[in-house]
Amino acid sequence: MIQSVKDQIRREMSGAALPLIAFSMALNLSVGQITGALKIPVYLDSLGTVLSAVLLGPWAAVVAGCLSNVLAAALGNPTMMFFLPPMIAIGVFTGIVARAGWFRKSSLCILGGVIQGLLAAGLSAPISAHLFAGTTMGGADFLVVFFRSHGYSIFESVLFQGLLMDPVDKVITYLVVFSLTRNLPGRLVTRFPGASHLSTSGE
Amino acid sequence: MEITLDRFSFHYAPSQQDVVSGITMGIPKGSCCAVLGPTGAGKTTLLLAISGALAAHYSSGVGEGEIAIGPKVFRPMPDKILFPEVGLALQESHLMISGLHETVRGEVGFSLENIGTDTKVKEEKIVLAMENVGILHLAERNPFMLSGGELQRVVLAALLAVQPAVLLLDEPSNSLDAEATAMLVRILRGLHKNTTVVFSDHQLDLAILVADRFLVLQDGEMVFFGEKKPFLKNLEQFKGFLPVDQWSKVIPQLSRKHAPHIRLLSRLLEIR
Amino acid sequence: MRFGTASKFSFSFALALLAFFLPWQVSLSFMPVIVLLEIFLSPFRPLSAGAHKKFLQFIGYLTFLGVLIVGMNGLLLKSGEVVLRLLWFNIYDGGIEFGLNVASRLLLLSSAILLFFVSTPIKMLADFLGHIGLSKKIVTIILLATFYLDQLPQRITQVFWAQEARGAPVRSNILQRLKSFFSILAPLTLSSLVESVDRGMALQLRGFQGYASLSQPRDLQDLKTAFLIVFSSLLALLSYLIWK
Repeated sequence: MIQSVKDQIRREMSGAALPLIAFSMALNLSVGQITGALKIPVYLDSLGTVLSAVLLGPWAAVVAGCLSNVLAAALGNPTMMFFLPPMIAIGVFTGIVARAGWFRKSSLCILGGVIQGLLAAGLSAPISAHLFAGTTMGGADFLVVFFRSHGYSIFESVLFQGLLMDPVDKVITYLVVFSLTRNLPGRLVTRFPGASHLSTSGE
Repeated sequence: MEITLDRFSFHYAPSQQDVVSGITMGIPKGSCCAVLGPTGAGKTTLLLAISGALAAHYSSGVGEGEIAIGPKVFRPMPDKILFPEVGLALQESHLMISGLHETVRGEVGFSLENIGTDTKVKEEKIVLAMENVGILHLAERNPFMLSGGELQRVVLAALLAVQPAVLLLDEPSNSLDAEATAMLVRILRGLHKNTTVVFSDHQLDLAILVADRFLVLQDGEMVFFGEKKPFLKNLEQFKGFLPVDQWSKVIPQLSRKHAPHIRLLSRLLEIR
Repeated sequence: MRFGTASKFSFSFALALLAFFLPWQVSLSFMPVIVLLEIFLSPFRPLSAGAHKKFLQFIGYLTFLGVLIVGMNGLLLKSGEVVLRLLWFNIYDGGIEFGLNVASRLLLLSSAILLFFVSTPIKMLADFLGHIGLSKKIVTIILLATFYLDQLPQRITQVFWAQEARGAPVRSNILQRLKSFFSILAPLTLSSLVESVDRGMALQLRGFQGYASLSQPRDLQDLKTAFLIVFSSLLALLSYLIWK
């Protein structure tokens, strides 16, 4: 069991995987620049993690996700360090559903995005509630205030806000990655171990 | 180091066709081998395989046969990049520029840094390598401001600085003008006898002037492998996929001179 | 005794740990200490004037966030007694107390982490991660990522301008903008992904590997200091908890 996990990690972290993981991290941290410039009210800050999960696998995605947050902290946003658990969940869940072939169909991607969103909301709510009392100065704070002013507890309010917003964010993330992997040049896709689970791999 | 390939084949994904197929050749230590063929013949794949980058970076790829470099035998090919014993310059020189240094001098030293060369030795090697490829005057320039040909020389200097036993060059004459090609000829000829060189090209100029072994590929298949004499003798045979015409005319002159000289090259290139 | 990256890390770690247990008065009193350390103590000095400015900005942001947390909870958490009446709103002391606890913890935690990162260059961070036993691959990934991070924003700007010049509706309604988002992201990701992976290979072909790029050997003195810091703060925490 341990040996097979080790083999799996080695496979996901060899050769072309390292630059892809690094690129995914950079994508996680830079995509906000585009959403910000276009004023789209979503984060998509797990885009790179999902891309790594699909092309490489769950372990590589966990590495990409966690290191993204560490790097974000190093670049001046230490609060990102607290959100490692949802990032890990995103990596593992996406890696598993990608293995199961969910990224071959857009309908399955939407379903995956919704489940992923609910999972992420459930995991970040306790962190947000406990450490930030639901205040992060993000755009979604008004929802938290709205729920709280209607008598819900901090945890409930943060959770409701997450359950409303995260599935949308993750569905868009999944769909972006879905369309990206369909358009990747064949020779490039074959460089990654996750290729065989995509419809582009020429199986 | 000597390089031997034994029935080496490779394809990029399980269901795909072989990109190179059944390549068998032996390149003695210190010789210079030209891998010739049209675009898509499998030249780059072959160089990547010898460097170790192919197995390391194309995990879905499937290889067969074996590659031996010096005493080490790899089945089917080296599974990790063999730098600094084997140095490969990719065709796209701008990719090889790390961008971590702001000057050509720093960029040339980057590879030396990576293998942990002592600072003083490093400086000497940098200067020597830059001098060797004639880019000393570019030392303080920003690598990203250079022309394609200059960039290629920076990459070559960076590789030569670490003195690899095997030097692999992918289409080195691609963005070079006549003068720069002449310099490349001089550099390759001036290499220490311990360095084995393999370079790919879809032209013949550089190959005929410096190579002593020739591998001709077409659609991944080996059409010819051998020394210079039989290669020149059979030149007409490759007419369909190598630009042999201009060479067929001048080959008698070349044979008479026996060892073609650098001035002859410049003249020949002017004829073109 | 030397105070290197490992010591700094353990100091920040100890502070972050304490943040979960200390009462808000103590947590808050650590704040000026952190700022003074950042300004005056050489191992914690920021890497550049820009980094220092960013540090102060972030502390300012956190303080503002803290005030917001205290205010919001005073307003929304209706426990304890009303201490203040503002127009139609009542502020409760139970809410303020709760807000202060959360805010002080957040402030101390975040600034402790920031104190470490503001004074540690990425290369030294990679060194440190290598020294504490993290795989060579992780170190390579971090260094490569910083490299890509340098270039990606420029590229995004270029693609953004190109799309805008082509008449993509970058300032239209939300659906149109979402469409623009796809038209910007797809070419950007495809081209930079291809180039990043190729460049990664090219850099490895030039011998670029995490450990080989490490500049400093493992510093045992520093590790000793780090151990001392962690040990003594755990001891202090334990005695505080027993006393309490």
